[in-house]
Amino acid sequence: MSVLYARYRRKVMNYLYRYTGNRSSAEELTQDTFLRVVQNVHRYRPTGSVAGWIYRIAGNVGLNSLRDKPKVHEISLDEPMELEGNSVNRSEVIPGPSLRPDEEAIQTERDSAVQRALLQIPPLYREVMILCDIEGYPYREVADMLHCPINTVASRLARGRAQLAQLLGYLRRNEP
Amino acid sequence: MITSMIRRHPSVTLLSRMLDGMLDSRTQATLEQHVDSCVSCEETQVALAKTKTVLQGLPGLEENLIREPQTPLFFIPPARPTFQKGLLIGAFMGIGLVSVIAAFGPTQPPLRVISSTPSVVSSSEGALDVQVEPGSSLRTMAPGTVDLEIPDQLLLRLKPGATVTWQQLGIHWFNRRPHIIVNLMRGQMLARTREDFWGSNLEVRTPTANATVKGTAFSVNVDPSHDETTLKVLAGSVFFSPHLGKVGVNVKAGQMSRIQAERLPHPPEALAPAERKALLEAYQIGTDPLLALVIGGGPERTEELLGSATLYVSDRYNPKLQPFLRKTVQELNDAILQRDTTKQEGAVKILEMSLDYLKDPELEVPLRLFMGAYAARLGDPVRAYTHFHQVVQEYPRHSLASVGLAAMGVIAEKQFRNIDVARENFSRVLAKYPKSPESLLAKEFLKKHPSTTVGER
Repeated sequence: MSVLYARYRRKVMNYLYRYTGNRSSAEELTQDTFLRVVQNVHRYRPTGSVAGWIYRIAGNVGLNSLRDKPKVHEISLDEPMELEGNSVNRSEVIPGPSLRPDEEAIQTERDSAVQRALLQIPPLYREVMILCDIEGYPYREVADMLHCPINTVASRLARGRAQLAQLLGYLRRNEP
Repeated sequence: MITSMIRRHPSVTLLSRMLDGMLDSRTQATLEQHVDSCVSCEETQVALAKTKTVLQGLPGLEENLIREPQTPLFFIPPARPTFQKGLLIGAFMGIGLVSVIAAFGPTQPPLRVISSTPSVVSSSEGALDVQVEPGSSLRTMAPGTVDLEIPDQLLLRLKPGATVTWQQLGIHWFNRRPHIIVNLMRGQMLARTREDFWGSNLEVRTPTANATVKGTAFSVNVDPSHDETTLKVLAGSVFFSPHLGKVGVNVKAGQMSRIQAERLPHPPEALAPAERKALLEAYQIGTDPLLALVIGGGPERTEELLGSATLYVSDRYNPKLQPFLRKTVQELNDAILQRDTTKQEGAVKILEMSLDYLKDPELEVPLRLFMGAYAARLGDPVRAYTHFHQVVQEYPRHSLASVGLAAMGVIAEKQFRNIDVARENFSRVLAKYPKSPESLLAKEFLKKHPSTTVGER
């Protein structure tokens, strides 16, 4: 179990971070995910990949967290905050382990914008986008993970990409 | 088909699949041709590609920003060794002792298949008289059942459609008692522990629940379609908790509870008379006793006896078991389950009269203990005490003699309100049956009511 944890913790946390957009939630949900992995380890069937199985659990945990969102408002370090009239990322205000060059700052701002837009995509499309585009899993594997037909993966991914493209201004609203 | 599709703009799904190279070569080529000549589709295609690239470029959480959880919930930190001299010596002595004990004793309880229908068992372990090995599994298919036994300790029945894996079949290093963990994945398992089981450990794990047993007769049923485990206890008590969970309920004789996936157990509720009757099947595993008291194997059995215990009577022919005796016991059981007191009293009178003629411990001990308990329930402590006393006097080596003696102690304490007599009885339990489950009751009583000497007065 500890091997699984060591191998997949970071991947799962990344996935849940992209899914929720909140680092502390992602950490908590990663704990939840591995707790469920332990509790359900007897249900794992060696027909599918372990990674797929863990991602499927992580996906359910992520989806449940969105459903049961706490009423208390959590402040994420990645959420923008108003500082001297400018909107900045909270994590940027806290001194990091090293100073970032200007280029990195621009890149970070772009990434934050993409992450914010990603959070506006419906969860069903979002999870497929994370798995296919960010994590790089092929359609077939994602279909296995999500227990759905490969065509469903393809259409969710396409719709998600189209919506994100609109949100990022790459595509006009009236496009197919 | 593709040509007709191209007359309209292709869907965003097709364009997205094209981007990922997820189309057959002909469709891919046709679509590429269309996209090259259609400004609108080209724009969409570029937007999708840009989106994909942006997503692919998103960095993961930086390693130094991923906080290590202080103590993951599922990870039990190893205890830090403390290198104290005394402890080290103790540890070496302990290891030595364990090695000596292990070297001279079996390492696995002799759990054997005593009855099965080989054609319906999908495992080599299902063959008759084969010793079950740890890690092996067993599956029964309708209409077959498999019965297993550890002589004098445990009887198990796997009902049709049950799947089990023997996760642990060990002997406890210190008390040399069986320590069994069985995973019941689906179907029903009936269990009955016998006289020598006390001190051993049986844990039935299902996908949703754990049932931990010390001494009892019960059934566990797993319904995978509803992710639910049902526990029904006929005698004794079973600790019932969610799978690998620590929080649970004690389900006592005549009760049942259910656990759904990742939920806490339902509060125990009373079993219906028909359900209690059906559970008597647990007494039919292996060679069934001619007559048996339906009570558990732990210290709770005295309370059960004095509470609402019933009797099991065998259906098999045996010249010792007269037909009238079988019929009367069956009538008595039905009357108890239906709470028909008139019928109960009629049956008890007949059985009580027959007691003097039985003179066979297999029949007389359970029947006499039952008669004593019944008299106690009716508020006739002298009659009750007489029956228990007779069992202790005449059959002191019987496995239920300690129950009789403990029951005498309880009657003396609760009904005669004579603590001295109760203390005497419990002291005898401790002296004569120090390894019996009743010795725990005796210790508890004597702790609460220590003897007072003349000097102290």
